Order: sequence, then structure tokens, then C-alpha cells
Amino acid sequence: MKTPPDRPLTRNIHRGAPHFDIAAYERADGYRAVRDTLGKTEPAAIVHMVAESGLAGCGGGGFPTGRKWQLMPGAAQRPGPRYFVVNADEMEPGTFKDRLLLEGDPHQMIEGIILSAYALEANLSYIFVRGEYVTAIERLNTAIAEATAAGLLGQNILGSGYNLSIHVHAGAGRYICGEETALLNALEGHRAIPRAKPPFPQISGLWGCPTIVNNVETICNIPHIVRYGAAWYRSLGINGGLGTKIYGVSGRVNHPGAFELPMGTTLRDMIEHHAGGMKPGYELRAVLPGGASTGFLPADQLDVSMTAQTMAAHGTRLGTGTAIVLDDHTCPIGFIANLQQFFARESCGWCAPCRDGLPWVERILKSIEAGTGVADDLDTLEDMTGNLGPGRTFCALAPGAMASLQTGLRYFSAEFTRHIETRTCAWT
Amino acid sequence: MDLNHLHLDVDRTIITAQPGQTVLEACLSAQLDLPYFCWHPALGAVGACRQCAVKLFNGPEDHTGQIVMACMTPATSGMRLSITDPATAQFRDRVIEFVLTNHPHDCPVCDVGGECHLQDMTALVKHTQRRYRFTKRTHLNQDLGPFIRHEMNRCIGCYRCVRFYRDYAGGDDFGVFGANRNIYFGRATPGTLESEFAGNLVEVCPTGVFVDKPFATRFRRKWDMRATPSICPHCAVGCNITVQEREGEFRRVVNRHNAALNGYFLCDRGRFGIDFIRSPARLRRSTQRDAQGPGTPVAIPAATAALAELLRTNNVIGIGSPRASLEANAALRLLVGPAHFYAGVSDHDADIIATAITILRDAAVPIATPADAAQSDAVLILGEDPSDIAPILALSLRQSAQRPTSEALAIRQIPAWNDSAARRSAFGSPTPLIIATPMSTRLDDCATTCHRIAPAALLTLAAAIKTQLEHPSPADPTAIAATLRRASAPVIVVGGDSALMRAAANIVTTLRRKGIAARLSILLPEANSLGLGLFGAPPLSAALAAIQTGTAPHVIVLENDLHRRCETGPLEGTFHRIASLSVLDCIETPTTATADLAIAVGSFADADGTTVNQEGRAQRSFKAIFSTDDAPPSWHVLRNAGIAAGRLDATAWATHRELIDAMAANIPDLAACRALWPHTHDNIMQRPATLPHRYSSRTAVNAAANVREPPPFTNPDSPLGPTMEGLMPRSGLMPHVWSPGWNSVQANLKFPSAAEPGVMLFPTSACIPTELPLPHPPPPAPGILALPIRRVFGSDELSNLAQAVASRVGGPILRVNPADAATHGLSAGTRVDCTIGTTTVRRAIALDPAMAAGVAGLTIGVQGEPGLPLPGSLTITAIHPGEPS
Repeated sequence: MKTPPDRPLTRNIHRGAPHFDIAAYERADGYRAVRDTLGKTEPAAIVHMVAESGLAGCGGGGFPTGRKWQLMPGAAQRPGPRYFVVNADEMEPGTFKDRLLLEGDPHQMIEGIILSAYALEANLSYIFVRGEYVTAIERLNTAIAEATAAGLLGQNILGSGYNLSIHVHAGAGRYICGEETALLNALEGHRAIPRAKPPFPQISGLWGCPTIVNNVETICNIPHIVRYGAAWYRSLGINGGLGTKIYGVSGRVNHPGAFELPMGTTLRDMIEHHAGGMKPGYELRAVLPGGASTGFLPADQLDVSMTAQTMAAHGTRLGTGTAIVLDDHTCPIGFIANLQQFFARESCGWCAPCRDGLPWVERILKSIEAGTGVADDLDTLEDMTGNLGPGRTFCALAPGAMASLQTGLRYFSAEFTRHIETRTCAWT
Repeated sequence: MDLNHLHLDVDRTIITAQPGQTVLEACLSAQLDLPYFCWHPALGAVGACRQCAVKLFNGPEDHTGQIVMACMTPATSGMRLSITDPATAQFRDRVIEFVLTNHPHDCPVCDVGGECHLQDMTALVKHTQRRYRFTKRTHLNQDLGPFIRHEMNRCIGCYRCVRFYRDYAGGDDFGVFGANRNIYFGRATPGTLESEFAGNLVEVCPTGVFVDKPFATRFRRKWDMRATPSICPHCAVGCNITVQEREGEFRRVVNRHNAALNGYFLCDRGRFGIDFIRSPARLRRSTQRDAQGPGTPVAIPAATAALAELLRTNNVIGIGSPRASLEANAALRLLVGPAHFYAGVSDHDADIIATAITILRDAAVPIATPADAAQSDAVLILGEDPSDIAPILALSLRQSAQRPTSEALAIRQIPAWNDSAARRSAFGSPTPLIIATPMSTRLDDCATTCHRIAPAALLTLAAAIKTQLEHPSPADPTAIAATLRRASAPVIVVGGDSALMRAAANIVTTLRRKGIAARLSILLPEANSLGLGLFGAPPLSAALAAIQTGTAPHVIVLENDLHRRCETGPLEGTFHRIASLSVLDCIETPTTATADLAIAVGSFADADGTTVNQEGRAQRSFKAIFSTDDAPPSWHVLRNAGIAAGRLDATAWATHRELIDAMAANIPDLAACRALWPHTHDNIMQRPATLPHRYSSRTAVNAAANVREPPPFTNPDSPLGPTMEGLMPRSGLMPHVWSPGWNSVQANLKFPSAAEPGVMLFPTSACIPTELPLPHPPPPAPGILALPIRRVFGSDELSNLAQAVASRVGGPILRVNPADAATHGLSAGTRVDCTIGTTTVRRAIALDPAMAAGVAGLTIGVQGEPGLPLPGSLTITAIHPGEPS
């Protein structure tokens, strides 16, 4: 066996070099896990292995992947079609990790799908890709064609008796399609609105059939877990984290980008070491650690490790693990208003609090930013963070939007008050 | 402890719920006021509006609890909930505040002000203070056609309209567009809403986005209108309606909930067709032929006296009508005698009606209500498309077809109320809806199988299904029998042909023998077809034959345009022999135009009357319109003429009750009608009040003419009170469905027993029905076999007179399949002259690729056309290719 990689997800991705075609991918030990597994390992054993690995969903929710898979009834118990769906609708502001994986190593994606779909006894898989990811779509289609020609997709794959087809579906451009049940509605040709749960997609997903939806990064881990085992995967993390994570940093840092690091790397290490620190003349004020729908961490809390548990302990979420840095030259109210404008626009319009509450939040913030805010606005905003919170709205979009507002009201309270009292923004 | 009920603790009060109910349904059933928007009793729950939030505690030790949506939470025993919890109450207040951010403050000028669910819910959560200080989003409205006016700015985004229109009613020309707060409920482009159920949007919308357009032109507030329970006169389903009037003028029709029949919905023919009573074509004045010719105005007493004069001759025949009440028909029959009373319908209709009676009464075949149809687990439609004949039945059948099977729900553990999830589980495992008709139907889109078969082969198929049920064989080409055998409560819908009706009844009988609770639904042509049929009178052709053979009689025609019933030749060839023609009617027709004596009588809304629907359900409607110049009911005129002629003693039928008793004594099948509201309280204070308690300006309405308040209108026939003094009953005969704080139609929920069930004349018995012999099929006719096409808008005599409905009537068509069209050198839109019998009518060709070969469909009921002998042999006698379609 080859020496296991310590950066499995990006091992084939090299800046400036072309992405691997199927021959290069196979030379780099690609599709080994598929060849070793199909028809040889029981599907249930793979599910068990993924559960053992502690792999958690990398799309923002962080739900344990193995547990998600185990909730899908077996093919014997639920005869009929079963689907495996890849959520490649990467639309979270500040997040660009899935794009790196799709464009950088499309065959890793395909191999992950084959193994996952085999484990879940699904014979049809859809990749729901963000429509703007034109290059990714092209490379995925090429990779699917290459894999099909090589007998790795289609009927009776490698003589195992297992069949799988993969279809690439380009999204039409709504943030809510990243929510797995809205994604399924969109895939069925309906409006992209989330579905009530229960029933969960495992029980009644695509066209009412058992369905698993996983994020790109999550699935790209599967070939490596299958090849090198759950214990190996767990050993990759540090500070209590498991495996690796593609973290990212954007904002006024010297080297913004995405980096595959051990899960549990600290925020300070990410920003100061891997992203090269703040640009000259800029100071870090706060960080949204995991995309636009996570809460702020202030500058004095950068030494926390980036795991779901520690982030929750610090009042925010790991989210997608791609941080957005707020610097001292940017108005925090303007920053939050910009985020709320995004969420208000991307609300699907299904539930009343999100549809009508978020535009209100956006207008208040813009009013404060423009110097026309009133004292009552802060109470209204505070009230919104509760009443647009979890359990109040139909899905997690509005609660996610409220994360930056709620923490922003706490950490930037003086700036909010100053805007209202001076009737102007100090940054303009 | 009662195991059939669940016990829930809501704010330390124990309420009971039915298994399968949600917390919202349980709370509303327990008369607890919990606000909601997106939920609707017929549409189920989707959890969109977030208005019905309650606090759910996880066991007795939980003091924090969590907010859940009551509509999406199944009620379970031992559950502990709070509605009054402050955080939850605050959240409900915020939801109202959110939906009101864009809602205009136009309540004083809004069409639904005072009967608005949004107003009620706002008052319920005690929301008063507006904090939103920014601009509202605004929309442009669309022209949605003659029935509905669009006011999109009022929209609060509950999604009920689109869920009703698309998911429930199967419409596809209306939807939701846009996203976020910029969602828009309308059509892709402005234009008439195509669904014949569009009018329900008026009642489905919790506020004033969809407005009853004809009503808006003669608008009055809900509390300013008299409301009277009534029965729709426009088809044989007999939907329950409420007629509202003020100052003697008809205002509008709203749904009256009847769980067995129309539930919460009406079709647009019913809702908007009743406007015919305001039509210029109403017969307003009685006229008599004198030396100057016909059309000399005559007062009712003189007209009655003239009628009495005729009766004294003892040479009178009466022709009844399927659009007149039992009372009117009974009165005429009692006056002229059974031997001289004729049904006034075509031979074909008479055959259909007589067969329906044989099936219901003699063979005791169990009949399906629309509610049964909606709940059935397999449907077979034979012969005719119910969509145009019995629209509400078709809507119910659609619910059956769109419903997931119970197995599909069970394997996913999805409760039936979870609407979106339940609909999704129907994918791939639909409830069978098999349609076997000569031409395409408007239920094809939700059918599992469609067979397009000519009538003769259809009869063979129906017989073969029965044989397959008795002796299953592997060679079952259609597999219909196998599908029916797998069902537990299948429904067979049949219409159009008496032999086919018998064959369908035999399928139900065979299924019943096998222990399967099958039911039959028979499509009949008119509101009181079955009621008239029960008098056992011979058809119109027999009347014409009697006129030909006897001494020229005086003919009294009751609420019937005979020109719609038969061809012009035989009618005119006979009627020139009669001594005189007297017609009692509420509308002007070619028959009244030629009458020697035309007596203007009241419409169904001006009189108390009973009709029998296609299930055999007798239902009573009440005088709904009150004005000083009311036309009398037909039976009053007939009674008075009878007394004057000495046919009746002076006290005969002094009351409605006595007429019903006399009818019951003569027609045992109708004896059960005596059970319909037998008690009329002498004291009007003890009667249900038809004017709302908040009725305004009672003493001022006529002040310009007379400052004294006029005495109330009296109506001894009705158990209802004519004024605002009286009872507000909570069940039974309820003119108003109104509850404190619940001013909109949603108040229905407060009165689960409000439905007036009517009386089933032939109740389902436990016995196995009798099998019926099938007649030998007639020899095939030469040429093209023409079948009648009835249309929701255009084939009904009365509703066609309503202005809004008339504007929806399409041009007359001849529907043929493309191959047959090619053979005759016809293309779509070509105008042709079609000759059936001795009558020639013009039609535009419409191509239906699904049409059985050799068969053509011909729209009937076209205004001004004579009755056509359909089904019958059709010849195309002229083609007008140059004329535009």
C-alpha cells in the first residue's frame, strides 16, 4: 500500500498545473478504492467505516455523515429507486472550497460518488452544481465520460454487478438550493423551497424515494477513508478535530485562499500563517469563521481551534470553515448590512418571518448606515435575532442570517450607537 | 379513559383530540383560538406562515419548552402545550407584524373588510402598533377575467391560492412567481383564469387579493346582507350555497360547507351563474294574448284567473320540468292529474333518469357522494366526462387520483395532513383513476389509464369487466377488473347511456358480492332530473303524441323551454293543434314568447323549493330574495288557479308543509321529503335570523320614500326568520356562519355540524344490490355517431344568462379525431353544417387525437338552438372553409 497522504483531498491539486485526467488520476493511485471495494466489500461495511471515521458534513451543517447514511432504510427494506445526490451548489458568501475540489480533481469527486452510492445501494446519482461553476461542470462531464469509457460507471461496473449513472445538473442560481431539501425540489423541477422535515430525505427524498444528499468535500473524503481506514482518517486531525478540512480565508489578508489543514487548526494559524496575515495598514477586528451565516469571533479569540465543538462553545459555528475577515477600515454595520441584503434577496419567500423579516432587517441596517437610524432600531434588531431564530422559521436560512447580526450587535454595540447618535457613518 | 381520543394539556386545560389530528386541528376543535394562515381544512398543512406557533414542553419537568408550529405537530396523548406562553405569543405577534409590513391599510375600502381572516387574526393576537417605517413592496395587478379581480398588494404570501389552484384543483395557468418578498401570485401573462374552480380563490384567500368581480359592482358588507341557505340550481350535484341579498337585490353566492357534497368549494358555474336572476332575460311581467296579439301585460290575479279558466275545461295537460322544484311539479301534477302530467324532457334524458331510479331504488346500488369519491382508492369513469357535467364531483375525483395510497404514506410514516410530503409520496404509486370514454376528458391529466372507446365497445368493456371480476382470467387486456378487485372502496362513475349505466351498476353489484365496498356515481343532466323522474311521468314525446291523438288540449308548461328539449319540427307540428299554451317561468324563452299566457314566477331564489340531486339526496332551498314586487312561486300560482277552478278546496296547500304532505301521499318515493325542516316556529323570534345582528340602516333604507320602518317581509313557508331578530343557531339550519372574532368564511371551523345533510331518498342498505339485465345493443347507425358535449360554461340554460358566465362561453364545436377529419376534408377551425335528425346546426371543427374513430362530439345547449336528438347519426351537409374560426 502506498504511504497514506496527509493532505488527501488536495493531493492531486497543484497550483498552475493542469488537473488530472483519468490516466493521471489512476497513476496517482486513483480509483484504487473502487477497484478494491465494488463487489468485494459489503455496502453496509462501508457505511460502518464512514461512521467510525467520524466524518462530519462539510457543507455547513456538520451532521455526522455515517449517521446520516445509517438513517436510510436498506434496499431490502425499501425496494425501488434510491438516489445519491451531491450538493455542489456552493453559494455561501466567502466560500470557495468545493470549487477547488471540483475543478482541481474531478475524478476524486467521481470516485467518492461511486463508493458512496455503492454503500447506499443507489444506482442513480445527481450532481447539483452551482450554475456559475462553468469550468467545474465541464470538467465533471469530461470526467464522467472518461470514467464511463473506463468501465467505472454504467452497467455492471468492473464486473461487480453494480450499476451507477451520474448526471450533472446545473442550478439556476438560488442560494436556497444549497439547502438539501430545496435542492431536491429544484432537481424535481419545482420551486426551490425547503421541505418540512420529517420526512427526512433518507425516507422520502427525490420523488419520494430514499435519498442521501452530501456536500462535495464530504464525499471527496470517502475514497481515502475506504482506502486507508477510519483510524487513519481520525489521526489526521489536531486539537480534537478529525481528518482534514479545507479551510479558507478571504478579506484583507496577504494571501487569501483555501488550504487543506488538519481539522482543529486554530484561526490564528490559518490567518497569520497560511493566509499571510493582514495586509499592511489593516488590522483585524473580527472574523466570520465559517461563511456568511456564522457569528463573529472578535480579534481576541483567534486562538481557538476550528472544530464544530469549539466554535459552538464560542457562540458561533464552524459552518463551511471558510473565514471572512473584517478589518478596521470597513464599517461593521455596512458589512452586516451587506450580508443581510444577500440573505433578504436569497430568501425563497416561503415562510413569513424570513420573507418579510429579513428585508426589514436589511432596511434598518442600511438606514443606520445612512445616518437615518432611530434609537428603537436597536431593540427591533435585537428582537429580530430571536424571532428569526432557529425553530421560528421554516429552514436555517434566517437563523444563519441572524448569526452575524446577533454577534455584531454584541461586539459592535458602540458603533451601532455612534451611527445613530451622530447620524453618520465614521467610515464614509 | 377513552382510547379513541387523545388528551392534551393546553395551558393546564385538558382538551381531547382525534388520532391523526394535528395540534392546530385539536386546538381549533376544542374552540381554542389559535391564529393561522397557510393551513386550510381541505388543503392540509405545510408550515409556511409560522402563525400557529405554540410552546411544546418535553415532559412535566421541562419549564423552557420549545416553539413548534401547531399545524405541523401531530397531536399525541399526554402532550403538554402552551398557547399563552409570553415568548410564543410575542412570536405570533411578530408574524402578523411581518406579513403586515407590505399589506396596505385599505381595510375601509377593501372588499373583504369585515370578513377578512387577516383582520380576524390581527385582532386575535392583539397586534396594534406598526413599527415598520420603510416603503412597502407593490405589484401591478392582472386582468384575471370576468370572475376575479386581482389586488396583489394585499397579498400576505400564505400560498393557499396556488396550493388550491394547482395542487388541489389541477389548474396550470396560475402560479407563484419571483422570490423573497417579491413573490407574485398570478398568471404568466394577464388573462382569464381557465380553471372552472377559480372563484374559490375568493374564499381561499385569507384577505382581499382575489375579489368576486360581479359582486364588487353591487357590493355590500357581509353584515349588511341577508343570507339564506340554498341549493345550486345549475347541475345535478346540488351543491350547498348561501345566497346573499340586500334591498331586494341579489348580491352574491358563497359556499355553504357540506362535508358530503361540496365541502369548502363551488364551481364557477354555481358561484357566478346564479347571477341569472338579475339577467335582462328574466320574465318580469306576465302577458296574455288578446285581440291585439300576444304580449299584453296582465297582472298576476288576472293571469291566475285565466289559468283557472283553462283548468275548468278539464282538457288540460301539464308539462313539468327538471329545473323546477318538486313542489312546483307536484302542484301541476296534482292539478292536471297524473294521467295528464308529462315530464318535459327528451326521450334520451327520460331513459337515463328512469334507469338511474331503477339502479338506486329497485336494485339498491350504493351511491357515492363526492366525499366518497374523494376518499375512494380506485375510480373507474365510464362514458362521460364529469368535469363539465358535475364539476364538484370531478374535483372530488381529482383528490382521489392525486392522493397517495395508504401504503405509500405508511412506508414513509407521513401523516395525511402533511400536504407537500404526502403529495410527493404519490409519485410512482398513484391511486388508480381509469377513464374509459369516447373522447378525452379534463381529468385525463391525473388519470392512470385512459381508454378511448366508442359507445358500443364501451358497453362490451363494462360487461367484460364484470365477467373478469366473476371469473378472473390471465387474459385481462385492460386489467381494470384486477385494479378494482385490489381496491377496498372503489367508485364507478357513469353517465350518458342507460345500458352503460346498468352495466356499471352490475360491476358495483359484483364487487359488493366479493365484499368490496364499491359505490356508483351516476351523472344526471339537471338539478332536479331525479326528482322529476320520481313522479314517473312520460317524456315530452308522449305529450306530443297525446296532443296529436286527442282533442286539442290546453297545455300548461312549467318552467321549461320546450324548444331546448326537442327538434323544432315535431314541436311546431304538434303545437299548432293545441287549444292554448300557458307557460309559468322566471325567464324569457322561445316557449314563453309563443305562449298565449306567460306567467312570470319566481326563480329558485324567490321561492322555497326542494330538489333531488343525482345521489337521490333531497335538499331544500329557501326564499332568499325579498322585495315588494316579488314574483310568486309557481306552486302559489297553481294553487290559486286550482282553488279558483274548484279543483282544490279553498284551504288546500295553505302552507308549504301541506303541499309536501300532499305530494308525499301521491308519490311514496318522495315521502322522506317531509323530514326536511318540518318545524316552522310561529314566533319569528324563535327562527334562525337571516339578517345579521349587525345589519345596518334598516330604518333608513327607505327613508327617502317613507320615514316609517316597513313591516318585515313574511314567509310562512320558511323556517327562517326574515329579520335580524331571531336565533343565531350553532348547528343545523344556519343562515350565517359567524363566530365572535371569526368574521370570515373560516368561521366554518367553529361549527363542525353546520352542514345540512338533506335526506337520502334511497339510503344505502346492507343488502347485496340486485343485478340488472342488459338490453340488447341497438344496431349501429350509419354515418358518424354524434355524442353530446356538455360544457361547464355554455350548456346550462340558466347560468348562460349570467353576464359573467356568458362571457366565458366558447364557440360551438364539433370534436372529431384527426383521421376522421382528414377523411371528410376538415381541418381545425373549419365551420361545418351538421345535420342530426331534421335539424342542421353550425359548428367549428376541433381536433381531439384521442377521440374514438367514427364518433364525434357536439356541444349542446347553445342558446337559441333547438334540442338535438343526441346521441344520433350525424351528417356533415356543408363545409365553410373560408370562414374564420
